[in-house]
Amino acid sequence: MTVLAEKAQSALSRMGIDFDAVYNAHVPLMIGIAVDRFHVSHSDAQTLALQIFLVYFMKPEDVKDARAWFVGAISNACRQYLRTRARDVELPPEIVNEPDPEFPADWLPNRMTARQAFSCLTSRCQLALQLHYLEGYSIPEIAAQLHTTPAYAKKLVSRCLRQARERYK
Amino acid sequence: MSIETKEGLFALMEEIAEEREAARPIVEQLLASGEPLEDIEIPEGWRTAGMVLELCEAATALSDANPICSLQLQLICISIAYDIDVSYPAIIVARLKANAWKEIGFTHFVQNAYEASFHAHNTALAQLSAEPALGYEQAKVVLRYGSVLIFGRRHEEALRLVESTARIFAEFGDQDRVAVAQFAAAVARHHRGELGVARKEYESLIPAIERTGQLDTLARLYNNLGSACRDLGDRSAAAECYRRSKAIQLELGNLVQVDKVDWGIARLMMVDSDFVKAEPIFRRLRSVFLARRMPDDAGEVALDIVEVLVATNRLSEAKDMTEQAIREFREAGLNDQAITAVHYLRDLLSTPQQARQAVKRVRAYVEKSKTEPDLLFLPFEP
Repeated sequence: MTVLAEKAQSALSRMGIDFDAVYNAHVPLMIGIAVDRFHVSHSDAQTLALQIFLVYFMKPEDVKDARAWFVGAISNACRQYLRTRARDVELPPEIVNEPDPEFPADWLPNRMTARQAFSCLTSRCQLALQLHYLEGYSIPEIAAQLHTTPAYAKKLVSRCLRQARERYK
Repeated sequence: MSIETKEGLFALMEEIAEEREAARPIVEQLLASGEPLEDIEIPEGWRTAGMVLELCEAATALSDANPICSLQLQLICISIAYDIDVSYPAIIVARLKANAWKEIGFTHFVQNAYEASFHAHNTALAQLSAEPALGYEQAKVVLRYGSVLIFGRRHEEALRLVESTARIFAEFGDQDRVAVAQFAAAVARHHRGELGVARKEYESLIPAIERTGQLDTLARLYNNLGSACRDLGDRSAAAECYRRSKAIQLELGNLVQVDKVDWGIARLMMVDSDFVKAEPIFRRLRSVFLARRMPDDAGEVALDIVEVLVATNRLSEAKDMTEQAIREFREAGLNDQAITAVHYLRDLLSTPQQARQAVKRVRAYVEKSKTEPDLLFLPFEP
């Protein structure tokens, strides 16, 4: 049984397009083009083809001639992928295996600036920013700490950050 | 969620399709309620890709008719899109952010905010550049960006961009967008002053644009063709093109575009010295543009009204209108040179024999200075 058939009453099927059929008709074709014509590895070709299918799903009404569109999309994507890959230069192994050095000069000025900026704020703002930026708390965690909703906590953090920026100038 | 397999991909698509279904009535309700959308608190349940897609679609539909509401919806889209960063694959988030920025760019363009529009389009392109699978979306943004550049008087760059997108759309087999890109190239040539070439290109594109079924684009094509014909002195052809354009836009309910066509029609009336008919149209357009926060267009219409008033020998009214235009241009942040030019016009209105020519000169200058702030205003030579 196909994926779509299993979900006969799914929201996907209610979109009025047989995505399963479109997938079967075009994804293997795209993978073949990527591998044969552009010499992209099979796994990368599959990733690109699935991503293109996802782009198609997000706005299928853009596509009138599906075959031409998918062929054009994979050719374009492969060229972009190869261009990007050509620009990437691998780091030598001695650097890859080394952890990033941590020099006080790298982080100290930032931390001092942050402290000075915090001193211009209310205690609630200081707490929100300290939790988020220095201690790495997520927005829902801050909301729990401050006994408020995540939406308000998010607003609070962004407002306090703006205040800090304005007052520290 | 992984999209490395067909099953993973379809599960993700199903999830987004469900989110869209859930979002649809919320968006409809949001629009019907008429509530102000600024500073709206976004409920947790709205933070989905499906909601962004639905909001974006609603905002796009409104970008011409109600740019203010469209912009507010787009800002909600952006806010959610940045918030769901980690919940979806990077390609989806990039596509959502880029689409919202592209539409924000278009709304800014409708509101005459060209610099803001350029920035929004650049942000959209930056989102797309890291994802090779988003080449088609990239071409759509570049086409839109190129079209905005035309109005920013960066014609060469605009032509280069829109022509490059025509090639990309051809590769995707999208003949409709190839035609739209060719239309944009014709507009660039029109704005560069190649009226004859532009007219021919517009005329040759009519069947292709008709085939796309995009009535709005067809109406814009007729409107542009009308302006080219008017500027070439073929007034009957211009009137017929404007008539067709207006009929389509009325049918579509695109009121902003109807007003833009009316503007062309009123200017055509000015060519025929039909001031009595042109004046009420200009006055209506001015209040409409002001209400829609399109200050530059409103200011330009004010100068059209000044021209009518000068032509009908109502110099004191013309001076009052010029004063008003100066105030509005200042509030709209028009550059000092342009404001000086309008001041200069006010002074010149005391000499009726030079006034009409001065109005035309200043209006042309103000139009150009929006996008060429360094352009010098050369005083009218007696």
